[in-house]
Amino acid sequence: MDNLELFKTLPLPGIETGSDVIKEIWAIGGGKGGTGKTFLSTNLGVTLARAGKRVLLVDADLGCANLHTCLGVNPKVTLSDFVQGKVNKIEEVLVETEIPNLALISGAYDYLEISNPKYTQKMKFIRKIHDLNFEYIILDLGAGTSFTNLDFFLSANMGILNVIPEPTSIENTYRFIKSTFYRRFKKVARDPEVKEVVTMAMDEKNRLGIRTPHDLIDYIDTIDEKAGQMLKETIYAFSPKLIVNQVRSKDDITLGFSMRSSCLKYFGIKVDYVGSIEYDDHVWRATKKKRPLLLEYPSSAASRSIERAVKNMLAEEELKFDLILRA
Amino acid sequence: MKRFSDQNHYELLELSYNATWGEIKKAYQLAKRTYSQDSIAPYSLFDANDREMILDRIEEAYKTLIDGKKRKRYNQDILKGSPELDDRTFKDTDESTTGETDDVILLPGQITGEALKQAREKRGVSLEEIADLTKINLAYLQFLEQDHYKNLPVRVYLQSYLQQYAAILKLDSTLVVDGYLESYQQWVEKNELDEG
Repeated sequence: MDNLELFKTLPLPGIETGSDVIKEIWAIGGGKGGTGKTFLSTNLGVTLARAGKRVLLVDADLGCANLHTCLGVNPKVTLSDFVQGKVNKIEEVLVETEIPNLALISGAYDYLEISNPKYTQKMKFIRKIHDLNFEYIILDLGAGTSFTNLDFFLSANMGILNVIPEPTSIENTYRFIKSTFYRRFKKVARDPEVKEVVTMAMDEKNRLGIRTPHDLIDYIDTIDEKAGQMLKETIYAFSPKLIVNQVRSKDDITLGFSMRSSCLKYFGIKVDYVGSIEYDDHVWRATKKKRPLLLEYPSSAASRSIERAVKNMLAEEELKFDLILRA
Repeated sequence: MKRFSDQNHYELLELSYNATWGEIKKAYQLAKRTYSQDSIAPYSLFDANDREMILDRIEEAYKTLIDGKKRKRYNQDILKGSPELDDRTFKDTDESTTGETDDVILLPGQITGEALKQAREKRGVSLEEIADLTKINLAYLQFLEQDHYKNLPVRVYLQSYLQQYAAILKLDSTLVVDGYLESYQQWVEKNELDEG
C-alpha cells in the first residue's frame, strides 16, 4: 500500500538512536461541542511537528469527524477501513499531510455504526493506535461523555480539557471530569457491590444521597475500606491539563485559576492550568480556508498562545497567577 | 483529599506553609473572586449556600494568616493537631514572611532602587502586579528600581509613583518618597551643572 511505503521512508526515531522511543499520547476532550477541540488538536499537532517531533493526529470524533478538513486533506483511507477490516494493518490508514512529520488518521466518511463501537473492538484499535511509531499521538475527541470519548481520554497519558469562558462549557467540562473518573473507578473496582454504588452515584439524583466524589468515597469506605483507598489513589493519579480557549479579557484568563481551585475543592483533583488562547479572528479566517492557523497566521495572537501552552506542557509547567498580569 | 470544611487555613487558600505576605494576599484575592456569587467558575459544583460557607472560611483564613502574631499562634495549633507535620513545616516562616511591618528595614539615606526591590521581594510581590494594580507603566517601575533617573518621568509623577509603590508594599510612604527623591534631586542638580 502507498501509505505504508510512505511512512516507512520516514526516519523512525527508535530505530535510529537504538533507544526506546518516548511516546506521549495526548487526548483533547472537554464535553461541549463547538468549543475548539478540533482546532486545538490540529494546532497542537502542527506546533509539535514544526518543533521536529514525529506526530500523529487521530480523529477520534467517531461519526462526526472533521480533523481532515482543518488540515485541508482529502483522505482516501480512514479509520473505518481498519475497523471494518477492509485493510489489515492500521499503518495502512495513515495519511500524509502537507506538514513534514505530521500524519493523520482520519475519521471521515465513517459508516454509521462506528460512533458506538463494541468495547473489545474499541480497545483493540486504541491499542493499535498506541503501538504506532510516533513520538506524539494526539487524539481529537468528540463532544459529550460517551463511553468511547471517556475510554479514549483515559487511554492517554495526558488528558487536555478544552473549555471556553461560558457556563455551558464549564458545566460540561465538570460533567466530563466526573464521568471520566467514575468510569475509571468502575474499571479499578473489583467488588460488584462497589461497582453498583459507582453506577448509582453517576445519577445526580441518586437515592444514596451521594453528591460529590467525597460522598462517594466516604460511602464506599463503609462497604470496603480497601476499595475506598483505591478510589482515593485513583483521584490522586488523575491530573488533567486545562486550556481556556477564546479568552477576551483578563477575567477570562483568571477563570482557569478559578476552575483549578474549584476542581481541587470539589473533586479533590489537581488540574494543571497550562494555557489560555486568545479569541482571534484569524482563527475563523484560517478555518474558512481549511488551513491550520499555525501555518496560515503563525504570528497571530492565538498562534502564539498555542505555542506557549505547548511549551508549558512539554516543560510540565503551568501558568502562575501573577504572570497573567503580564499579558 | 479533604472536604473544604476539614481543610486548614493553608489548604483552604491553597498555600504552602511558608507562604509570603504577597502570596497570601494574592491567594485571598483569587479565592474571593472564585467563590463570589457571580463567579461562573464553580458553576454546577457549588451552589449559593456552599459559596457562602467557603467565603466565610476564606475570610477567617485570610485574617489569621495575614496577621503575623495570629499566624504564629495558628501554626502552633496546627502542629499540635497534625501528627504528620513537624517543626520544619514552618521553618521558612520567620518574621520576614509573617507580614509584620517592621520586618523590612529601610533606613533614611539608604533609599535606593535596590533597597526598594529587596523590600518588594521580601513581601513576595512582583513588579508586574504593582504595574497592574497602579496602572504605572512597567518600564517606569523597572527604571525606578534600577535608579535609572534619566528615564524616569518628571518629579511630580515620580513622587506619585513612589507613594503608590510604598502603599502597596505597606512601606513607610514618607520615608520612601523623601529618601528616593533626595538621591534623585542630587542627580538632577548634578546634571544641570554639567549641562550649564
